[in-house]
Amino acid sequence: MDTLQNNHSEAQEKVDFFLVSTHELRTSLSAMKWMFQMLLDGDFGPLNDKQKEMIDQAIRANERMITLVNDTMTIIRTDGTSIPYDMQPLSLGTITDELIKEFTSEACHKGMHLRYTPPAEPIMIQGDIEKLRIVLHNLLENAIKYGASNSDISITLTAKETDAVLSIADRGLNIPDAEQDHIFQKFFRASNAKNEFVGVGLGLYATKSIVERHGGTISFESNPLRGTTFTVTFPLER
Amino acid sequence: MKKILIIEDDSFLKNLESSKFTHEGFSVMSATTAAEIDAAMASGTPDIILLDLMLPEVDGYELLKKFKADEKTAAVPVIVFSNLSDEIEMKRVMDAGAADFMVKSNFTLSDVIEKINGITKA
Repeated sequence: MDTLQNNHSEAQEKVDFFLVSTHELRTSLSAMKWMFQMLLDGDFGPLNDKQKEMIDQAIRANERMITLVNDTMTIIRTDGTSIPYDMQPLSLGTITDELIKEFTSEACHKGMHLRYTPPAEPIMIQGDIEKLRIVLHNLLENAIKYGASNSDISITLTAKETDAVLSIADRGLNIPDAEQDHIFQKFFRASNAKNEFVGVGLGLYATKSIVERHGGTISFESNPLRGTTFTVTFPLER
Repeated sequence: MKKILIIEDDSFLKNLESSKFTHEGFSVMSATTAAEIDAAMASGTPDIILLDLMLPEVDGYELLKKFKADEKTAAVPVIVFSNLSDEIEMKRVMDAGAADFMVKSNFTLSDVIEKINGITKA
């Protein structure tokens, strides 16, 4: 028992160290992001076309670094079996509600609507609330990022036999058939996404890792006509 | 002219924020310490507060609760603007009455201004 606790506190110390480091990285990246944008907006005087092009490239490079840091923070918080999960009985519907509210303005920005079909009865599972919010966050963020502008994202939460079933469906970029087996691998990015969208390929890897630590499953269906639907299941609390 | 109070400890970020908001026509007050916050408040209640969470002397979360408990500032929207992105932290500040939680590295200052305009218009 003592050994287990020591391992957990050592793991927590490492997590804390990396989180503080990435927080500091983010501060510098924020400064660059703001400054580049202010330069591009002409806040410090007009730029010629070449200068604008160079600043634009700097913004893209900075965005890639921000995405890498964001995804690294998620991995640090969730990866590996030594990171302790604080499992509690909780309402999956409440978390889903909260995350949908948080993403509403981002969706509106792309002319999208988040259409939520809530469960008829409260759905209780055993889970770590912070980690589950990361799952919802990653899936909603991807649906908005890869979904087509002015389209709907459908979110459905139901109970089926012994499982809670949450699905998030977008009408956007599909995952090519030949690449579907790799989509949850660390650093994998679909060929039709990597040149168009900033990312590093850690979000779905982290999402799958969290879902499986909860005894759940994650799967998806994707085709060019209907878009992509991710479905996650968690065992219902008995 | 909208009056904004920026509470931020990183001097470079604070300078960029002050410069942008001034450029966009805001009246800007900025503070880092408890004494500076009190002095800024004494000079007039702001229309909006942009609040960092990790501050050297005071805890941003405690400041948010203090603003919401004080009848003079209870109705002033507070946007928490931090590079912390812990999901629990986000929920904690939203539950304490923040108007929004924005992760600094995920937004430009123009995005923040758009958010402020939306909040103060509503």
